Amino acid sequence: MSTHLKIFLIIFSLFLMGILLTLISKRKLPIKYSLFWFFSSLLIFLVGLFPNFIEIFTSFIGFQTTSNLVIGIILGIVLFITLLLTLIISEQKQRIKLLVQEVSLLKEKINRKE
Amino acid sequence: MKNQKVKILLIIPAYNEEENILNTYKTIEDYNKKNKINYDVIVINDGSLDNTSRICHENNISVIDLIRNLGIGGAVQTGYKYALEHNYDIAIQFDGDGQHDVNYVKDIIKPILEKKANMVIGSRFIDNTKSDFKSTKARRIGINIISKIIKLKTKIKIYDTTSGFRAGDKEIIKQFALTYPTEYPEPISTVEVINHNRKIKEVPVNMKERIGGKSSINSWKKAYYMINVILSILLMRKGK
Repeated sequence: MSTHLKIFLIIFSLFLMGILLTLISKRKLPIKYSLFWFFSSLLIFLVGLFPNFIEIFTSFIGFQTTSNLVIGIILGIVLFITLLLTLIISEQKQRIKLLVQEVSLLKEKINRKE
Repeated sequence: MKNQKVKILLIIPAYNEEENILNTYKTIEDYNKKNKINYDVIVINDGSLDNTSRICHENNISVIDLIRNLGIGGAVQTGYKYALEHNYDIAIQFDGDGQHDVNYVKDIIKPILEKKANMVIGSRFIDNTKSDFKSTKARRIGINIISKIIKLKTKIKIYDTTSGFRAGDKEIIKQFALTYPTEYPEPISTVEVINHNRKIKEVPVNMKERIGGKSSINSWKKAYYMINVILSILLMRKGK
């Protein structure tokens, strides 16, 4: 893996952690959801710092180069986060549906009494 | 049980039904007067963009105006919640677009009154002489496939799997008020009812072709609809 890529991965992961910390301190990102992001950026950081560690896996999994494996790892993380988001969205959808129903039922009740 | 003592509610979901809703309501009102019975009506206006709401309010039709469009599943469920809150004995889903015929309501509530079923589906396909409107051929094939999937999964044969003309007793009202599928509600909720070990019956009804408006399932979505329904049913688990 080229030195350039290593440096890029380290800077990128530090930058990502910086953003996460800022968002958490501004209370925009709940701790609950930030943990996964932290692990992801930590993973990217470690890959940049100790590339030997994952170079073993490169040929084992069948990747041509370690840089491809890095992209593979990041893609995996992104896919997982997307799945998580889909779950959260469907849960939100259920809650919004419930709210719309209950508010509408209440409005009808109030209208009838007036 | 005598008919007069039983509280019966017709749940009419309506999305942009300004052309049909008043007619539908008047037909029910006339039927009530003529037969000296009392089917209550609640229109669930699913965030219509036209004058559905205004028409209902001007004509003193009971209506719940959903503050946002929820789709057919969410709208119908609101009706079941209303039925539960007002202690109805039987709730009937009835389309606001003129497809369903109020004369058949007595047929679909009969098995419930006789305690022979918890839910009754008004079916176009069990008595072939009955219905004028049998839907398009593609749609019939779709309904048939869903029917086979339900049979495979539950061992129970339901012929008209997408019929929106259905009646439920108190247990069904309670179940649907609590959980009702948002998407593809008719076939999915049917399987849920079977999974709760409740009895389902089908009775023949006549359905008319839609007078105005558009069906909620349009052509290019059909394949997507089928795949989703089949997968949902196959992946459903028994139990509560």
